[in-house]
Amino acid sequence: MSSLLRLLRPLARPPLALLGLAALGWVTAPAAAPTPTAGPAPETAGSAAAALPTAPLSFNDHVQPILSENCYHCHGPDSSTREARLRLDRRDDAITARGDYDPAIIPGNPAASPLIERILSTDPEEQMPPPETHKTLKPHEVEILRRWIAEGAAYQPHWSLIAPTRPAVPAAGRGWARSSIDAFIAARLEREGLQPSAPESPARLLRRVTLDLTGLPPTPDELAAFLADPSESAYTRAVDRLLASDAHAEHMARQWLDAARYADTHGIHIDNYRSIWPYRDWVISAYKQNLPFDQFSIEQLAGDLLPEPTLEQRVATGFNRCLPTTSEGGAIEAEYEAIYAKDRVETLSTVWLGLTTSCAACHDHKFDPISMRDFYSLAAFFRNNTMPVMDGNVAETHPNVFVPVPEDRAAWAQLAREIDGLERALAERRTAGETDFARWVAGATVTALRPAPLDHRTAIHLPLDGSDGPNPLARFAGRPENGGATAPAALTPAATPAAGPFGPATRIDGRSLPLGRELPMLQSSQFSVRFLIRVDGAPSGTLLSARTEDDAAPGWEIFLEDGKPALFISEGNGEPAIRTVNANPLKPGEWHEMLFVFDGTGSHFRLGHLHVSGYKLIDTGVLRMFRSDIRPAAGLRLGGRQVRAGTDENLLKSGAVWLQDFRQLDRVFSHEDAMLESRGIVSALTSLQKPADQRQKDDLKPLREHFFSAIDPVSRGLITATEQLRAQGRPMRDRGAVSLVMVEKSDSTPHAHLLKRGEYSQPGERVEANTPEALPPLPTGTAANRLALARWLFQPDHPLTARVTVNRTWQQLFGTGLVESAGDFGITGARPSHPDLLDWLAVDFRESGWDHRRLLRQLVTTATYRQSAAVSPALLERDPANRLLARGPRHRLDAEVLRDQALAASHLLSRRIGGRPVKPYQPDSIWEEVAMKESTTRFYQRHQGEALYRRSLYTFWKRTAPHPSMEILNAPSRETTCVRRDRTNTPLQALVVQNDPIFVESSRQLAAAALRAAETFDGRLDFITLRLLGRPLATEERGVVQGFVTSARETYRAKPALAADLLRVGDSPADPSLPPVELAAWVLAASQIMNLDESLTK
Amino acid sequence: MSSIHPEWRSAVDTYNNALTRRQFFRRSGTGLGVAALGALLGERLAGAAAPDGKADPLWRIAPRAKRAIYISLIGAPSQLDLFDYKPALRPRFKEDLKGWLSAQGERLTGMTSGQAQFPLAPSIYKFSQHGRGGAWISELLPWHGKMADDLCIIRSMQTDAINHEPANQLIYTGSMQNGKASMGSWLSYGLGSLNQDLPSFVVLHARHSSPTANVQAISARLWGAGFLPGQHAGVAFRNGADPVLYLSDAPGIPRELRRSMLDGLEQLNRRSYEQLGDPDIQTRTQQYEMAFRMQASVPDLANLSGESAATFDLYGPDSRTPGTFASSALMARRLAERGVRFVQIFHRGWDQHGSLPRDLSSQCRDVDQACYGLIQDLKQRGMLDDTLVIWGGEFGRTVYCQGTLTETNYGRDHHPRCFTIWMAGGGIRPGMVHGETDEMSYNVVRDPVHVRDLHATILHQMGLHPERLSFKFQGLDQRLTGVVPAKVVEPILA
Repeated sequence: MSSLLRLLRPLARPPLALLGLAALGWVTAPAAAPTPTAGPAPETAGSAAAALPTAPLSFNDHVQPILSENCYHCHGPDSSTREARLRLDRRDDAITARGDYDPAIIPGNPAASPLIERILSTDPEEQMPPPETHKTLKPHEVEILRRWIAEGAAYQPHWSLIAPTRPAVPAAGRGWARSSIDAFIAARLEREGLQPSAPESPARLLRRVTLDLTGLPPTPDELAAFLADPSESAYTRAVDRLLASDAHAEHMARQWLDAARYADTHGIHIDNYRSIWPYRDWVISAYKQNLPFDQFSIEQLAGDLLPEPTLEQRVATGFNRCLPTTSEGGAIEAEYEAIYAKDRVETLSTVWLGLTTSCAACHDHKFDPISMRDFYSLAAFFRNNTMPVMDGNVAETHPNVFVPVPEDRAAWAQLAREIDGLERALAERRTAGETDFARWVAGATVTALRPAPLDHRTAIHLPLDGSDGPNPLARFAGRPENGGATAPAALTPAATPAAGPFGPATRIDGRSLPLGRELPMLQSSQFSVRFLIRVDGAPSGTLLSARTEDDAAPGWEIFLEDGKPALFISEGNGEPAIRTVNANPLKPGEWHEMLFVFDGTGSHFRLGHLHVSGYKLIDTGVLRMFRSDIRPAAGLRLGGRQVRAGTDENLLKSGAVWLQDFRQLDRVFSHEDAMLESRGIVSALTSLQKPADQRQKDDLKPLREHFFSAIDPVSRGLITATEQLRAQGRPMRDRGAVSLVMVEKSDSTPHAHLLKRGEYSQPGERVEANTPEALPPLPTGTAANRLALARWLFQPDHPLTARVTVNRTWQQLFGTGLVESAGDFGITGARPSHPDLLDWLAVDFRESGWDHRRLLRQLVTTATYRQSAAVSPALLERDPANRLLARGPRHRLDAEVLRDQALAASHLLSRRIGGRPVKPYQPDSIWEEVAMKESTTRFYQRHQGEALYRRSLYTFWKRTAPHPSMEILNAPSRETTCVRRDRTNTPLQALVVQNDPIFVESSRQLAAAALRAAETFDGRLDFITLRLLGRPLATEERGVVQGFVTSARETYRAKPALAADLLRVGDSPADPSLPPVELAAWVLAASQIMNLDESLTK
Repeated sequence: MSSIHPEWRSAVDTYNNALTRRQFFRRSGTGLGVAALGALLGERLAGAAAPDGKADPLWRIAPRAKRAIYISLIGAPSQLDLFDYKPALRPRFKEDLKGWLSAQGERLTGMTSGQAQFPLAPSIYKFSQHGRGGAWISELLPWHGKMADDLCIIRSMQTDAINHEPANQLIYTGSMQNGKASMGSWLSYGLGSLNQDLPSFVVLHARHSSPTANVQAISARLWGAGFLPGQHAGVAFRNGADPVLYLSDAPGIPRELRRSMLDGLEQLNRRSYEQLGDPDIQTRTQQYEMAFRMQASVPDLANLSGESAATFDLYGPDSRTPGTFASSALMARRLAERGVRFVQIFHRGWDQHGSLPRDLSSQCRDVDQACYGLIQDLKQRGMLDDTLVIWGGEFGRTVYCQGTLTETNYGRDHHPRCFTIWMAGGGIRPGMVHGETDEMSYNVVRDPVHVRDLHATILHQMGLHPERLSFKFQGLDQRLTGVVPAKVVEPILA
């Protein structure tokens, strides 16, 4: 440490006065007073009248900004708002007569051109733009148009649509420039009469580059090593070290996730948890491997369509699944299908194309050459996948893949292979066993149809076939899940015996048989009940109940009313109970299979379905949304509900009921499975009752199912083995997670319909998937699907992808892109401040094989990046936003970096990578205030221990209520793609860094470490500032902190209880060996340093 | 300064630089004037005299209101049971509307589209006429009856959305798409703040008291800034110790130590500024100072103990319980009084698909007297004239019953074609009823007011030109009212 301090000490000289800096020569000589023409305004190039070249005017640089601002709204690409059939965005249209209209522009003759005439007119009827638009051209703008027409009115495509070629590197910046990039910057500075700033001090530079590349501050050791090595290569070696680090991969991923609109919830309405974090981890690992940007993009957009995609490539397609989705009751599918496609087009356009296509969802783009047809042709690429429109509010909306944790990958794959093998063997057995089946079925009798075997999810099984003896529950008695039920009352002996499929069936008479189990309807529960039933007459009475006789008490019941299947559910919350009776009675004298399925997990409605012999008769979803958990006031009973002793109100009336093969399973069935399940035995029975020679092919199906699942020992063995393997896999399943992926529909080609005014309900002409007309076409002979689209982005003649990507990377480091509107390279977007540099970088990036890490390395090693960020008033006035880059970048750190910096400085930071999202400290009731009662993200239960100190990119992101400190510090909501974060400066931000417990706790641990590390005031202060600022304070600054520590110490000495309060903030233990008063005073000092502008800023 | 609208950036920078040169070295650590602070925050958008003498922005017009309070009833209250009186429906109880509905061609939500029957459910509530204008108001809102002469009831509201999420987004952000700026953030952006110690847009979440109410989700996007600079997002004030997140200093930090910490911070930041010349450093210092002042002003604001018993009585007994609607209404007045431009109270639980009589009456009890109290209180303080109050949900409810219809119980599904809101104060004509629906309260038959017309009217009353107030984003001039032309509802203007 002491050597480091020695290295740093010389830097801690008294502050340079601003005047002094000018004397050092890094500020231009007292420049001529800035004139409007010399300003750095790349975005207002059109206004630079005095700077017009003597050579012919450039359409793109000079003319188009004026036309697009003033004329295109009515005379541009959008046909629906076009006036007088005049288009000014295309030369042919502008110089051609249209019916009665003269050409608007007569090349070479401005005086005769109606365009100029109308602009100069003072007649409100004639004047252009019309007075009601409140737009007026300035004299120099009119002059530009006049000269341009005089010069022949040449047009150019919009600059960003012309494929970049590598421009010559200017001969500029000699003695300063370290690379071609610097030469471009220097050339512009020379033109502007400015000089670059002095190099940044080594300590500040290392802090800047470390924060930029890893999102973490340099450690004192890293700083020491860097400062100790004056060689030229020390910096590049530091850069390489940073680029290779895990922290770098995490930091890059975190920024990409804004573009991908990644979050951990669905986003719309109920906003439940969504399982997609393996995708987030894929992004981290992609950056860790420095996956070339083309591959990185193609795998995310279309990894599923690559030949034999790996698990990783499928996980990567989660990019397409990050969008907000809904399952709001009543939502209209067609509407959301259109919304999802639009979101995906918008995301693709913003992230790779830098075009704002969303306007073209409703009308042709007002300014850019993107038509509605283009928009819907792009949308078509994203409308041919198997994702359901309604997400079901489940975490794992299909399609999805299971992703084992890395350590389990091999074992999981092995298990999957084995299961696969068994399933293949089972399929083979079903073919090979056909003769065995034929033999069995020839001699099969009704009694041969033994019920399907029990599996581990069968909680209760009552054969009710005479084999149960007088006590059908005996074999289940004592099982813990039966609540230790013993010896329940026997069912009534059959007064009228009935032959069931499997023997003499048990008649029920309404008296109650407790099954020794509670069966609540909870948000977390899934269960089903299945039994065979036969009635005589049209009986009324209870079949199965979990309720008392009190209708208002919570409970449910399956019953018959005049022979009709019926369902009763009471929430017990004051809401009237549901009592619903099916329209048709059970046909007497026949056996039926009844299946009741309850699923509380799959939806924000708790759903109950009653099926009889393959038909869904009752669906509670259409009746009512159950909002509360239902915990019945009585346990599960067969044959009658729990009543007060001595009453018989539940006795079955008007008929007789027999039951057989009663099962209660702790599982649900999908709709299709439920239909099969509830007609399995019954249809097998029906088939079996037909004479063998009259059986049709379909009649054999249920019998074959039964044979291979219940009779054939070979296949039963295979089934059991499969079950065992699945059970073995369960712990791996619990460790890993499902991730949502994209799967293309195989039976249709991508297409879409133009939607009039963007309304889902107004479909128009059908279009096939295609790329926008103004951009290069797809290669001929390729199927137009997502993969083709993804590959098309990286065609060498593509004008946008490389430019947009290098620009975004530039923005990451310099705060603003060369094109300020990072998501809009269109006509109304900003124009590049350094067009040649942008093109040079784009071509270089493409030719490097889309090597993103190389690009970062190139940028951070420039002299431009390594300049001091100090600015003189004169330069500030010339270039307030630093678009000319006569100084180094300086801006506030992102929300996540601020928190991670505090954790890293205080040694609290966990360095674990990836995994489930974590829930660190958050103020109370942030979620409850906005959440629905049913939401799985209604209550925020914060984690404990290490999870509190993970890097911020692992914080659980609930879309409708993101973590408030992140939100206050300008993290986007992740509801739409975001390629450029807002950066405000508000008092709420000051409150976060002062008072959010994580910042207070970090200050506390940083102070404790300082107290342990050093005895003296100076030593302790150095310990803190080295970690947060990368430098020791100057003498004058030390005095300020010392004064504060002294007064804090006095306060805490007088009121030790206050010190104790402060030291209790945060879960991590306080060091009992440190004197509380001294520690508390230092906690405040650490917090003060943490709140310095210098700490908050890179 | 990167967050400031480009149009203003250079002006603010110029001002900053002037400040830098002339004043910075002469200023003490805490002595920044409010004007300077406003400029640093970009709040000159407020249209107050600009330091560089620039005229008001083009979008400013003569205001009728200085501030607004929006009472947002999430879930959509039933117009049929509160304001849109249809006595002729009584005898048609249980009439099946299936055929009639399909003739209307309206889409139905997935919740009722499968119903076999659509029995007509007349309101079971008594209505009576109130005030000079003779407005019909249901017995569920007796206090509203008493203030009928203060209200302008609009029965002809229309929206485009049929489900909560899109409808809430449309009415509170002007668009069913994500990513747009909320109404309050537009007002903040267009008008700036009247109080440097408080945010210009504050959101209050009021509790509903019925445990059985059907509660819809809301999200920060309803009060977010969207594409506008982040400082215009609504700040949600909370119940309890910290009305603003992280407002209270951590335990064990007494106020005087916070003060000396900030004094030191200022000195150290000033030194950075002298070295680096970056004006953001000064802005940061000012923001820490404003945070410090908010630590004093906000608890004072949230402390209702200084209110008189008469005031509490006006709002009703619930007003003494923090977090209730009544308490939020009182808080809204206190915020308006202190110059907060836009206060939005969200009250959830108005989605009566079933058991409407039980739940709607409870919802009404939550808000009825408190709304009366708010209007009277504003009036007594002479604030109603320049405070615009708006009350309503995101759409209406169907005339037919969802679920089982009995003599005493029914539910109603979503209905976008007509609904009722009311407005008061802020240059709106009091004591009038605007618009009319057909005999089924199904379609508007006179004076339709689309949501975008409501937006235009609110902006207009607040002194903002609905079409000129725009912000360039994604290549378009974004407006609260959207692209379809919107009209100010002239007949309701006083």
